[in-house]
Amino acid sequence: MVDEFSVGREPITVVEIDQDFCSLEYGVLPCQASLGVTGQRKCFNTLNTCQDISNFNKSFLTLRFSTDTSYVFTEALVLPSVRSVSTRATEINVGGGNNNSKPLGRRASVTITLQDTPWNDKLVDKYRTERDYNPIERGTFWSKWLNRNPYYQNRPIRVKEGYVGQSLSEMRTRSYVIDEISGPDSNGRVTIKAKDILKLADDKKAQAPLPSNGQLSVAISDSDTVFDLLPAGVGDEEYPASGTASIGDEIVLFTRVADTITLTQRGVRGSEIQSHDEGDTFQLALVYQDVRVENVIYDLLVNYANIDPSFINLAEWNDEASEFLAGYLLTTIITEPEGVNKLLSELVEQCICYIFWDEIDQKIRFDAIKPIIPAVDVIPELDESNAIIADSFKVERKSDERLSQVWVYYTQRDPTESIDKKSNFGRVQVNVDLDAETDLQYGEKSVKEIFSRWFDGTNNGEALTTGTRILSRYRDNPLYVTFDVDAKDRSIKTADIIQVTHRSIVDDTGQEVPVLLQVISTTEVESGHKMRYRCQEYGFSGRLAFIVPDDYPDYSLASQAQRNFGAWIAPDSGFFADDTEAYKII
Amino acid sequence: MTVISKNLSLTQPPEPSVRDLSKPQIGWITWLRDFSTVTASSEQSGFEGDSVINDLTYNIWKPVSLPATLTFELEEARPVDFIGIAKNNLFDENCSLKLEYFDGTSFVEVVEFIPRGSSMQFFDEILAKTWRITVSGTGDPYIGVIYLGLALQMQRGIYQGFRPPTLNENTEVRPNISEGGQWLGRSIVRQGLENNIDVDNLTAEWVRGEFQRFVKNSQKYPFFFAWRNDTFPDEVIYCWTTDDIRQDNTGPRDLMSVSIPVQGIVD
Repeated sequence: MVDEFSVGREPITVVEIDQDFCSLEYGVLPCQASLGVTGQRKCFNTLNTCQDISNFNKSFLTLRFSTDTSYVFTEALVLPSVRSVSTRATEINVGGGNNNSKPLGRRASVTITLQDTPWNDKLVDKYRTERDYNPIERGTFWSKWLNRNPYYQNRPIRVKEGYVGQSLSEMRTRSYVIDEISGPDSNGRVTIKAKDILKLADDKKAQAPLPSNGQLSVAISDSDTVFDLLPAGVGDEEYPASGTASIGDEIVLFTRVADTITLTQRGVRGSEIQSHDEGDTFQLALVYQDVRVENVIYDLLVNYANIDPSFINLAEWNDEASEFLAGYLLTTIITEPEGVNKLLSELVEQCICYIFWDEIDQKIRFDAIKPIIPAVDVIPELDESNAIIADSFKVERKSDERLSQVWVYYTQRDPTESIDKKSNFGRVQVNVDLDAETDLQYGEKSVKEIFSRWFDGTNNGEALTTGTRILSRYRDNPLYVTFDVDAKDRSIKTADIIQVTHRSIVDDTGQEVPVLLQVISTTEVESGHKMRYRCQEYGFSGRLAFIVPDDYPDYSLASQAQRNFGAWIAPDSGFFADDTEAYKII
Repeated sequence: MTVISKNLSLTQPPEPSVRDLSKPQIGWITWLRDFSTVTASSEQSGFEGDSVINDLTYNIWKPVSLPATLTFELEEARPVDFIGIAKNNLFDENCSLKLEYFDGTSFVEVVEFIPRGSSMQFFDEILAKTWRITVSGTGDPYIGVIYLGLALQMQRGIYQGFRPPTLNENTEVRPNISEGGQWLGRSIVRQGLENNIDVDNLTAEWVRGEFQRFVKNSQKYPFFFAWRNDTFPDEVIYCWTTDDIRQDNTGPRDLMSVSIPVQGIVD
């Protein structure tokens, strides 16, 4: 078996593209195309060349291209025309604390350069032997393909990284969607740019709620409660039988029969009751009432960003949230279309979690920001001898990301008002580390303000927890470490926690000390050969553990394993009889 | 009485009509590319029989079962004195290849062999329209390229100073060493074969004659090259020129040298 541990491995990369491809045969029912009638030549089974569009039956055809190699693939036709693959890895922004990055972090992307060549149209033309020309003497692969397949955006593209001798299914696969294709240029170069699946949640592409098309058929006063919607039929098409909507800055509750709206309550949630003009939009609102954070994120991704739910393991998400985010039940009214990306950014920042596209497992992952429990979590250990490649280790301490205070504004008064208007919030939770601001420490204040439309009056604990955990993580200048490893260590993935020991990180005596790091991005610097990990110190100061079960003994009688897992109340001194420090609740 | 020739330069002896496999052979004429149809006894989807006639080494023929045949029907009877086969795994799969031609009554065997990588087999010239290859064995073979046609024999042999291409691959080796000096792993990147085929002491008439047809062809198409097939029949390469072929006058006696820069595949 060939893998990353094989001596003398030969890395190889295969790019797969799934193009749309009609499953029908030209002129064979139900296809109504006919030579000489609907066209002068047979189609190429693509929409752009279809002569019977109403019967176009979309399936897909997988095209494969590899890096330049003398290896011949025998399980599928693979064109060795890839000249370079450059990936920009996902980078997570834990808790949105990195002000130089958006709360959702940096999206993964890939740029693939291929060399165009003449092609005999095998695979892409079912009728190539019937043509009255020799396809290899006409055009090139990509010039013909781009003409036949202009609708390539958002189609799947996969980058498979493996070794000569592996089957395609054994190779490590990263999945993306095509963003753009340029070329071929005069040197025959074609460039494909692709992004990860979360691209579909970009604000220009996905909004929540969806814009409503219904308009008031007549002007209404501040006391009217019944009116019809235009255009006719829009009621059944776009609106539920009852719900919440907004007309201008007024939020209303309504019931509906066909196109007739009956307002059951006006001026909801602190909005002002007003008169409205004929033609004003009746915008359906998006309402969440005590919905836990991971389910809100799921709803936004699947129902508004149209992400395939098969990319999400909701049961895993529910387990994670049940254990670490149980209290994050969210309530809000979103009265007009907002970018899904923007809403997701708010959620990961305020609910101390993060989501990212796992290119390897091809899943959108959801994780809570949480401490490592040494007794529970198995952590890979890397050091200068066994893993870190020579001359690759770099250390940065980012003072501009340090925080001394976190203010969380919540209990939004009027959802129609601007989200960052402080007066529109009833409460603010202020978490402060005054010691950090003194001249003895950092000597300056650094404040992060969070404006939450998601926390209501029942989320006092969550507002406190959010502020506390973010402050705990960014209280000191965050430490970032970057280093390279051989492919044998590439099982470590983004968001994993690792322990690193290096001569650059020492205690006050100069002794090397191991440090816990969270991998925030993973880049395959040389495919199948060398990985680059960028990590952030996984810091929660203090001794952390879970509340113990009822049947645990007192601390003095507990085993070391029990003490590693569970937390006991310490004496007033802050230390136990064995001189270990007290546990910390965060 | 001693007679000394009045000619200061002695004329060259006439070219022998028998193929001399100690001299380099260039298999560049193939009738299959533009003048044939192909019928396969069996072929897997995506790996059809006509893959072997288009010069592309990654576009292969894979039969479903063995023995399997490919029958080539030329436009008309053509002279053939070699078969070239490249990018195949017949040796590893313990499969043999037999070449036959149809004499009007039945198929006549020409040669049967087990190619070890790229291979050229030579025989007395045969004029025929229909040719067939049969792959036999028990493995899972594939073939990338087949040439059937005429080989050009160089006037002179290659002697010292030549690097046999099959013994001189281009391979990039990339080790990973840890900060502490430990060996972490190694990857290799095979970059094929690269060489310069230099042949000296060629007559100007020969270079300006049949050699030029090859020069023109090499600007477009790959070819087979066997540098010394009698002694080293496994050192055949399927290659292509990476630049123009240099043809220089070298010294007196109207002799020339040619330099053919090539790149080739590793089987």
